[in-house]
Order: sequence, then C-alpha cells, then structure tokens
Amino acid sequence: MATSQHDNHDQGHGQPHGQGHDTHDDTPALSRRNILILGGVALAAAVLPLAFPRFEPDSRALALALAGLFVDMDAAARLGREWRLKSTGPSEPHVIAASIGKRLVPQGLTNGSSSDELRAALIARIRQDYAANDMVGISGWQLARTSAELCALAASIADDSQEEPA
Amino acid sequence: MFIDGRQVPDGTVIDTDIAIIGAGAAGITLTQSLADKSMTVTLIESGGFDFDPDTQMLYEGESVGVPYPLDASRLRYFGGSTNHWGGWCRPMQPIDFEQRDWVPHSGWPITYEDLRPYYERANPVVQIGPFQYNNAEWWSDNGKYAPLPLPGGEVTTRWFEYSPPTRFGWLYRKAIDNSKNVTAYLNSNVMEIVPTADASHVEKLRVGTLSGKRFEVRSKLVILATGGIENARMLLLSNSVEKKGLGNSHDVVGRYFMEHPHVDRPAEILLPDPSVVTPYYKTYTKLGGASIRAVFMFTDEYLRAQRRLGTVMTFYEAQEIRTDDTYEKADPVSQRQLEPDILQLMRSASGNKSDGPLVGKRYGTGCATEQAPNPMSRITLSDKKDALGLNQSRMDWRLTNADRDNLRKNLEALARAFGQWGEGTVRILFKDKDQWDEAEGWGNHHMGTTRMSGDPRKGVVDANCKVHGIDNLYVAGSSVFTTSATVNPTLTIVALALRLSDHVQQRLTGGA
Repeated sequence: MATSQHDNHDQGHGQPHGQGHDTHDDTPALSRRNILILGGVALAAAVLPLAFPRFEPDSRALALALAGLFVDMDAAARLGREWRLKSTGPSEPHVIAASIGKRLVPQGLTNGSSSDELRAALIARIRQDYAANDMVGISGWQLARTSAELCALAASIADDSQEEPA
Repeated sequence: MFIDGRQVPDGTVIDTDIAIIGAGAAGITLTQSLADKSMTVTLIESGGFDFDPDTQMLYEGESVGVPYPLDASRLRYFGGSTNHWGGWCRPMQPIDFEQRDWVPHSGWPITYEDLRPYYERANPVVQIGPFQYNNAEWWSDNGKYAPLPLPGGEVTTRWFEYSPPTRFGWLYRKAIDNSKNVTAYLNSNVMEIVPTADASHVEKLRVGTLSGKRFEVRSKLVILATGGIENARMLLLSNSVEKKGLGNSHDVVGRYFMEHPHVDRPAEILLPDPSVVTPYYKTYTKLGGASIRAVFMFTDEYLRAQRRLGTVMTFYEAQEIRTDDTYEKADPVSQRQLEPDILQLMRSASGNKSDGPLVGKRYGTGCATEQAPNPMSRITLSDKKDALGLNQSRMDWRLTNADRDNLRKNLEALARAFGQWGEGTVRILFKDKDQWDEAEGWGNHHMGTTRMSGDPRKGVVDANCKVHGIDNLYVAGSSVFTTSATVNPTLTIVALALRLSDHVQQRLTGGA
C-alpha cells in the first residue's frame, strides 16, 4: 500500500467510472440512483489527491465510494440531517467527501484503495477520533466526527437527489 | 444480654469498659468483635428490635440544601440502616485514600494497605465471597466470561459482591445476647456525651427514653456509632461544657457532608451485537462463590491524567432495536426513532449488515458518582426539637457545578471507550447544565461529617478514629470518611470498625 502523497499522485490515472482529474466536466451527478447502482461496487481508486482542491473530481468518486459503504443510507441521512440542524458545514457531497478524505489519508487511504481498504481506513479514523475526543453529539449520541461527516454526506446526497428534475 | 432501657430505674449509673452508642453496621461489628473478650461492653441503641414510628421520628430534621430525606434515608432500630441496606459491597481503591492535588481536602491519614486486612475480615461479616473485586480471571468461570475489552485505558471493569444483604440486627442478635461481657440497652437514647470540665475526657453518657426514664453510663472508652448524620449531631448536642460541641474546637464537626449522587440513566449504550456482553454486567450473577455484578469504573491513570473524581456505572439490558419498529410520532425529546439509524451507522462502518430487522440492543446505565469534599456541605443543629427535647439536624447538602462537570466528563470518557472499541455508541442523557436542581437521587450514604485527618484543624478524628483532643472518645462509621470514593460505604464501615476494635482492645488490654 502506498503511503506518501507522491505515490498517491502517481496512481491517479486509470480510475473507474471516468472520474480522473482530467474529466471534471463529465463527472456524473451524485444522484441517489448513481449511489444505488454503485453502492455494491468495490472502490478501485479515485481518492488520490485529497489534499489538493484541484483534484475535486476525485472527491466525487470518494463520495460515491463512501456512500457504497452504508448498509442503510436513509438511516445515515436522517442522522446527517439531525446533525446539520445544529452545525454549520458544507452541503455539497463532494466537498464533504473531500473533508472526509483528508481525514482518511493518514489512515492509509490511497488512490488504489479497495472498498475493504477504505472501510479499514474509516474504522481506524473513527477510532482515532474517539481517542482524540473529537466527538460530536447528535441528540446525545456521541459520534466520531468522521461518522458525523459521513452522515452529513448521506444527507446531502439524499437531498441532492430529491432536488433532481424528474 | 438485652435490657429494655425503659425498665431501667431512674438515676441508675452503669459502669463499663467500652460504651458503644448505636447498633448499626459499625456498632454491631464492634460489639461482635469485642464479644467474650476480657472487658465489659455496653451497647446503647435508640430503637428496639423492630421499627417504631415514634423512635424513627427522632430522625426528623430540616433540609435546606439539595433536598434530602433525613428520616427516610436511615432506620433507627436494632441493626440500624442495615435493615434497608441493598447489600452492594466493594472496597475503596488505593487512590481513594490518597491526597489528590486536584481534589481539595482529600487525603486520608491511612492508606488502602492499612485497611486491606480489615477489608478481608469484613467480607465474611457481611456474608460475601472471596476478596477478588478486581480479578477478571476469578470471575471468568474457567475462561467462559470476559469483561468488555474497552480500549483507551480510561474505563475498566470491576466487580461488586452482593451481601444477602446481611441484616445485622437479625444475624448477630443471638450472639450478642449470649455474650458474657456484652449488655445491650434498647430504647435508650444517648442525649449527651458529657465531658470533664476541661473537655479532654468523656465522663459519662446521659441516656433517656421516650417514656421519660433517665440514667447514666460511665465508660473508660466511648465509641460513637450512630451514623453519618447522627454522629455529627450527637457531638454538636454535647455542648454543656464546650459550647460549640465536642471535638469541634476548629468548627469541623458536621462539615464536609458527602453523598453519592445517583443518576438514573445518565447514558445509554447501543450495541449491534449483544452477544459480546457477559451476563455478569446485566444483573446479579452467582459465580465463583459469590453473587456479583460487573460495573464500569475509571482507571487510576485516567483519574490522575484528567484530574477527575470517580464514578461507578452499572449497565443493563433495556430493549431490542429493530428497523421495523414503528414510531407513530417522532419524539423530539427521546429521539428513539434514531436508534435503529445509529445501529445501522455502526454496522456500516464494520460492514456487518444485519440479517433481518433486528439491528441491536439498547442498554441503560445507572451511576453513583464521587462528590468532592466541601466544607459548606454540612450538618448543623436546627432550632426545632425532637421528642427528647434535643435539637434536630439541619442538613445543607451542597453539590457544585464541578461535581456535575466531573460526571459529565466521565460519561464522555465512557463514550470514548465504547467508540474506540467500535462495538457500541454511547448516548449521554445527563443534562449539560450548571445546577443539581432536579431529584437526581442519592444512595442513602452519609459521609464525612466527622472526617478523619491527622490535623485537628482539618478533621474531627485521627487515624485511629479517636476524636482530636478527647482521650477516650472514638467515632465509627462513614462519618469518618475523608473522601467518599464511589463505592457503597458499608464494607468500608465494617472494615474500619474491625480496625477500631483491634485498636481499643490493644489500648485496654495491651494486646493480652
């Protein structure tokens, strides 16, 4: 597994779903339909240069990949809406995903990470959040900040989907 | 031998070697341990063998601080408050005896190691099992059970043992009756501990009954064992020579009253996989020669690093959580409708999708938490009088924002532990506010009002439980606790009584 950002950058090509950094304008919308289609697909790449805004398209891929981890996205979305009632933060899925991605890079997330590796990075980051007392309260439940951001991501995707024209 | 004080002729003077005032856990333990020894023991109890409303009314008093039931929180008859004791037993931890620089007024003049042998002797007195309170292996049932592996080093599992619970008045009554050197006077109230003119020595006890009889007890040594509130009241009432009360030249008697604030459901815990919870957490469990229950406590390392006081947390099954539960109306307060969502979120992280609608279980918690010693939390005398013409107690129980904040922080540590483990999510329900203005409960644990200290300016009794400045007056019971720790006090009361028994025997007989 690559461990440096340089290594990550070198792996920023050949991503699935046509979401390399040179395909920004063609990035599909993060609709609920897309998520459902992609939810079960293993993440092959797409999350490389998370620390750099110019690679925003990768954060869209990451949003898709993260959404694919939910066993119940509606449940996560409900929690996300609860959290957003009391917090300020971005509402665009790819921006939220980028924020989460930055948190996962130190946990070993790379451009070529698989779905299992993404999950492992997520679990490690959630544990680190708790260890660092980086918790947020949603109606009293003490969630890791990363978990809360995941919920916000789910909510933003779901809400975006509802706003899509038929 | 038992004697009804109402049958004692007026003006009788009783001479004895040791007078013990009060027949509760401390007084009966002392009496039992001194039975059949080469000294005469006189036990003086306000009540009879059964509850009597008129006697119980002698406990009435005023509460002017955090509301507190002076009457209902204790029992005034033979056996004392062990007659309604719940039976929870656990020794204090070594850190509880230490002077903690983040806890003002902390630091006993004795250590855990000083008390440890007496704790071990106390176990059979309260009819409980082996002294294995922190030993996970002992309670593993040959490897079958294990405590939750909570990471982070802040929260740990320890065990309580349950007494049947021992009703001291029933269990030890016959032995006391048969003891050749013990005479127990029932329905007899010590009205004043009367010292010599220089107040350095107890000369006599003035005793009265509700029927109007008056007699005296003259004793070489006197042990006051009437409970955590009444011990202070008795010293304050003993003011015919020292106007501020006996042992009170530094105005410490009655101060530092402590309880264990009990909060029901300060937190809840959702677990996707209830099978990870060993049964001994959830209820009384017979195991390893005892009836036990596991609790969550906070490690010494955490308490030192975060400068916290302790909390004990119980943990019990509450309800299965299902995704097909119907919530007719989303409740904005309980937010129960979000519980399946929290569990699904945990399952998302782990990739552990449920097979059906059952997604986990909710667990409730209860807690008892340590109150910091506070000189303003105190017992004084009320202007109101009881049936004997004695001033009632006036309780001003004070809890501070710091006490509340301490519990809140400990709950956050619990959340961190479960979160790092990954198998549970904690919901903190304890209100984040700055007052203890709700009936959050207590443990009927009355502590600290005649606290132990090597310094007479900071405590009422010394390391031997002798009242500073008075050569033959001792105090037994939880009123001598310097700090309250988090555990139920009875085992420590009994251990201290056994230690005091050894001390007075040594003093009277030189160990012979």
